Amino acid sequence: MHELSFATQILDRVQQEARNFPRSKVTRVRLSAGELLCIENASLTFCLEAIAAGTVMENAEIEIAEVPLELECAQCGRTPVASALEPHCPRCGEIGTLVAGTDLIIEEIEFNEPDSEA
Amino acid sequence: MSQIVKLEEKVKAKGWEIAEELHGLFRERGIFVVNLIGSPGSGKTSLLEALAPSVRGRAAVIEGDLQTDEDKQRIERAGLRAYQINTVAACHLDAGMIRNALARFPLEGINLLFIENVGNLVCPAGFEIGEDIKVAVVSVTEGDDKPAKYPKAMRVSTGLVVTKVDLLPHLECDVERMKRDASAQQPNIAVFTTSARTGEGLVDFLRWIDGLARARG
Repeated sequence: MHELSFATQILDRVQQEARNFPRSKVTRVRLSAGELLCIENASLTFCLEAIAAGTVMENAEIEIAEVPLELECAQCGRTPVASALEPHCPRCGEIGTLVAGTDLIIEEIEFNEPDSEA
Repeated sequence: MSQIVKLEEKVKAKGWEIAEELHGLFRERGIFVVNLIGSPGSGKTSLLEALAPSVRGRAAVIEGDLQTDEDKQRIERAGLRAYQINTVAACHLDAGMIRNALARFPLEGINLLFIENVGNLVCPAGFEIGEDIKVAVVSVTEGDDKPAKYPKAMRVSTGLVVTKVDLLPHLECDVERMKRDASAQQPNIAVFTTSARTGEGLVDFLRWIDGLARARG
């Protein structure tokens, strides 16, 4: 359900970037979605396609990579963790910092050749 | 030739900045905020009514429902200040609704705010509304499969309150299974077995909340 609230922000950002390519359309948007956000890929894709209709992002291919949660511990380095609410390293028990899997990231936006068929 | 823009930029859900702002505001005022999420009829309001005598004078409640202010009235009758949000059609509360509510619901003199989300074990799990913790509320009458069936609600919750345990003699409900399934999603989830009718588990639950509030500072 919260996918729509991410989708609207993604479209805003893509439209903003598209102003630098006034003669192109967006052909592909590559995203990575952190495990913590519990984003349903199919639902996010559906929302993006729905709100992209009539915009520069219409018909763009949406790619979403899933990123698992990882904690960085001073002793043990990066370790996968089951939950973001548990800040301790599963190996040594020290408190660590979440370094991956917490965010939704727009990795790349691909635009087609200016004025070519979208 | 296609042109690729490498952005590598974080996107926040719409409304996140309002949630951050609210969280800052609550912190500043020393108010610990608990967002209760659970199905319709899971016993969220009854839990709050049962807790009311122990937190009178220092806690308030924001109620979320599609329609009616019945829950607000129940909480007020139990002795706490309450504000009712009617979402009309929306299946969850969002941070904007809480901000609007605060404009009409002053929080002076309290250190604990319960926000009872719209009855729904799915969507409320996906939204931050300025809370310190989410607590999932699941009743034994809903069936012991609910933590397994609603993993996201478990994953985002710091605590799970199992309600209506006074009814266990009449039901086939394996509370241990609920605990196991919740822990599989959230290894450190604190589980409380409670009954608003008998008062079982309420003291432990409140003590736990107060402990977290003190730890937050």
